Amino acid sequence: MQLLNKMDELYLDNIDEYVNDHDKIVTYKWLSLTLGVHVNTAKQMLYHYLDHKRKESSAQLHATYFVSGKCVDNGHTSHKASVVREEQLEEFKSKMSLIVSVHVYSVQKALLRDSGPLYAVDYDAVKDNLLSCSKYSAIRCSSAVPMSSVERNAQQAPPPPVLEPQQSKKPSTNGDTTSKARPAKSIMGMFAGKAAVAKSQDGGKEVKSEPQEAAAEVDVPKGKASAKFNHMMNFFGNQSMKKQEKPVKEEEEVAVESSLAEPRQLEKVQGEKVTTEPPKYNKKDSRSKTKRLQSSDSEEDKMEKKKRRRIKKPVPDSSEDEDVIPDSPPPVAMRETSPAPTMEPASHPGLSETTKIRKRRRVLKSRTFVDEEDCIVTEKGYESESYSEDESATKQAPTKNQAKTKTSASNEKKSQKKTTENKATKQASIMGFFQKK
Amino acid sequence: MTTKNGLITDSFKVVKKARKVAKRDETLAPPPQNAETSIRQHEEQQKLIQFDLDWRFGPSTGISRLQRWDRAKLHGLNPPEDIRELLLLKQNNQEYKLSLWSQYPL
Amino acid sequence: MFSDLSTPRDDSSLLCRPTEDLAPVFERASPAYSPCFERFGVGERSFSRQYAHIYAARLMQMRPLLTEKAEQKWGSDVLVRKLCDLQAGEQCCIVGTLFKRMDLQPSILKEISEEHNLLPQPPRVKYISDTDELILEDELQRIKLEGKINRDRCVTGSVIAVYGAERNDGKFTVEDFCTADLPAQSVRPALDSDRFVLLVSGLGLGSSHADSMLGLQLLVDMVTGQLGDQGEQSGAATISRVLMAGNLLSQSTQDKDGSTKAKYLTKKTQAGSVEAIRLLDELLFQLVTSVPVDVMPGQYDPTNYTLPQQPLHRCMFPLSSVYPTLQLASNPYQATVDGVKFLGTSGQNVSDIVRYSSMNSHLEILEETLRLRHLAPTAPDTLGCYPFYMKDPFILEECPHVYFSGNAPTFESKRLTGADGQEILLVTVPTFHSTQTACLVNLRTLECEPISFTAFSAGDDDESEMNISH
Repeated sequence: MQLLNKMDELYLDNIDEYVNDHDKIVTYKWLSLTLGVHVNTAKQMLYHYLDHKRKESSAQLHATYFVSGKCVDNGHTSHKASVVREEQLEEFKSKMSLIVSVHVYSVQKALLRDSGPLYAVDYDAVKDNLLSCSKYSAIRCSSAVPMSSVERNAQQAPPPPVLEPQQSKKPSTNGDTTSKARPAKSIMGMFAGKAAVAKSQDGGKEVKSEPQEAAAEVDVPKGKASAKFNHMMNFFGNQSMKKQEKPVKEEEEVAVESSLAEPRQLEKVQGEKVTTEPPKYNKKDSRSKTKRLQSSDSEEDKMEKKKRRRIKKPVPDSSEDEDVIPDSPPPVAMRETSPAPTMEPASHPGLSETTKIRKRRRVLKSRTFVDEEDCIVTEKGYESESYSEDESATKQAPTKNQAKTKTSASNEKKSQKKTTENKATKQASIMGFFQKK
Repeated sequence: MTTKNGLITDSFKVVKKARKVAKRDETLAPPPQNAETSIRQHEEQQKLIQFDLDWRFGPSTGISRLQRWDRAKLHGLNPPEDIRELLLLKQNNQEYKLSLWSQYPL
Repeated sequence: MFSDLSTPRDDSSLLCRPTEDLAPVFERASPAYSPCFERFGVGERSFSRQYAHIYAARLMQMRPLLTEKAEQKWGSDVLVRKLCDLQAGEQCCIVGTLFKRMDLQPSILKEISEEHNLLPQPPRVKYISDTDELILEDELQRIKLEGKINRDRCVTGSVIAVYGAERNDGKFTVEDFCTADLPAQSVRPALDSDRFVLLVSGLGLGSSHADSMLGLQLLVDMVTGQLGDQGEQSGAATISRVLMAGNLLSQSTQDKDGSTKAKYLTKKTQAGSVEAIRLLDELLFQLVTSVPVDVMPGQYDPTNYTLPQQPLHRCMFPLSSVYPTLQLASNPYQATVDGVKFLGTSGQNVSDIVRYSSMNSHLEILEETLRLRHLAPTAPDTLGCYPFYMKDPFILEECPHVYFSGNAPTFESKRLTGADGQEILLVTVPTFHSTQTACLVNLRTLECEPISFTAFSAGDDDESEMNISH
């Protein structure tokens, strides 16, 4: 009994803190998930708390109740389950012909105008505790056991592909592949986002730290020509931001990414022994990814191919090493040593605010333009450029990204023109099809 | 109206072409073959065309003769067994596989 | 009644201080279950065929059934004629497919055959008019029908047998007609306890107004045993399956202009269905950890549009597809739960008949399709459908015990007893999004009752105040 009383005070204090200090809406479900108690116990705790507070007659509290039972409405009987405000409780109960259950649904300081916030609270609670969302309920289902990957594969063996009539007949009619690419991409994106969430659930909450930065980190190395791909990554990022949980997987990926990228940047910044190989290699790499994700940008691809034929290599200052690309990523500790010797302090005090220190460095940049023969030419050359320190810590060669965006900007313009042209020739309605003949 | 005309001429052309192709095949292939086999082939083709034209077994465009035969069998319409045997025998021969309408545009 | 099953026990009130013995755990009822979706699979996906085959196959399949029914109804000596053998003035019976010529029926041919500058045909609630004509077709010919047959009730694609005579003007005067009626039914095993299957449709996730979400959450919480007293929870444990009959996503998640908009305009936008599917996955996850769930696609869901709709793809549900309790089903749906045969659709077949006939009640139409022995007679005429050629999968081969259609405006149910003693429960599952109502089918008694969820909203106050003032 003593123990029970102790416990009583403990959870009463807890609830009081949530309700009064944090100004939270405390639903039974939220409480059950937060304290890790059976849902029915949580309901009783809320009732006890409410009762206790009412006796104290301290600050006013509002409560909502859950009522369910048999209800007869113009001759039709139905089972009705409702959440009602405390003041409507008795009236509501009187309308029922048989009351099955009544319990406290939520306790909060403010009077709720509508029940929307209740949903929001439960939604957040469930989302944060997705894996244990059925743990404290009163029903156990013996067959609901997650499948192993082997079982899943066996089950997926005959995966019914999503049917898309025209597509299966003539995949490239009118050169319009958008319809094909879009769903695939979004599904991919969804999947990626989800996988990360699932992972982070496993990892628990202890990995909670600067998710935005994580997102940015992932974003930057791949933030390449393709805006679409970028968009997918944003999606990825948003997801993790929303969760306020840093996906473990992402972190790892970032680590690998940046450790891969760092040495390359180092070389470039050092300026003297730059080869044209690294950017090319890198480009190919990320481009293949892009391609996989969206076959729709085939025009862009074509343009890029065309362009690559005519790349003018900048004369390397030292020709001894074509193959400086490290085969294996050097230790991550390298990251700290990234500031390179050719840096000069920035002369723009206006630009450098707070902790950001603007500096200058020489970087390899590629410029793309259309020459006399109407060919797209990419020229690489060294330019000096300002950058900030914190950027350099995380970004891999912002220079490259800028260059890429430049080339892509012109490409994009072209491809956009192309697509719109395609759109125009594409049959707008079946009417047009008939008229042509 | 114009569309209709266009379609009809299209189809006439196709038929002529098809006949030519058939003839050429015959003229190219015959030497080793004797007249008997070509007559037999012709008879077989006629039999299959009769099958194609039997309305009880439903439309014949867009599906193979064998599929049409199987469907008739499934619904208890008793299609002739020798047609099936013939079709199975000449499974890989395009001329036997598809109905006489197969060369017409849909 | 579900409510009666869940009657409270006196000792278990939750309106008291926590007691130690009040953390019950009930075991979920787990009935025998066998899905039967192969029937509605689409094999090779060839779209080069015309729809003539599906009508031909339908007539081939139905003709023997209807000839038998005709002989039952009009005597075994009744003359069953093909249209080509028809003689004027002779009393006989014809089996054929109905075709209703409708002036208002939207037609692409009409749009192009008349001269340009024609206003597009306006969308209507109903496409029937007084000038409609009823025509009966068999393999070779067609004939106009007159007489004792309700033109407005009939729909294109139904195979029926008519009895009457051809008049001199070439029209057939119908004296009577019959449909294939209910097929034979297997015996339903007697169950010793009450078990329920929860039917719900039209969740409408991703719609612009999310005020109905608490209702949906209450539904999930009730099924998973979170809500209510012990009694309620023990009742919820007898819900052995949840069946979602289509339109899980809202219509608003389909942006129609996605394919017509310039690509650069849509480059950075995300399809509305992505967020909605994520929400659905989370909801399903809560459910599948506690109860087996069947998910059928509907008109607005991301799968193929034409019937039969193939199951949604697993990769859209990374969270919930890990559980064996998630069953992604086809639309139409066919499965056996504890020996009770379920057959139903997400409602496209019924709402299409609403448009092309005078019937309005979904329940009435549901019964009509059962009598016609065909799930979707208007396919492929006004309802999208895969060009089958071998057989028509929508013909009922076996009588279900529960025959349902989803996304109805209201909940309705009816017990039907067939001529050969078939017992069928007809259910129109209401759109949850607008009605906040689902329904529970009792597998033991084959009864069905609605279950609704309400939450208070800001408008409630005004309403009650208004009531007082009046």
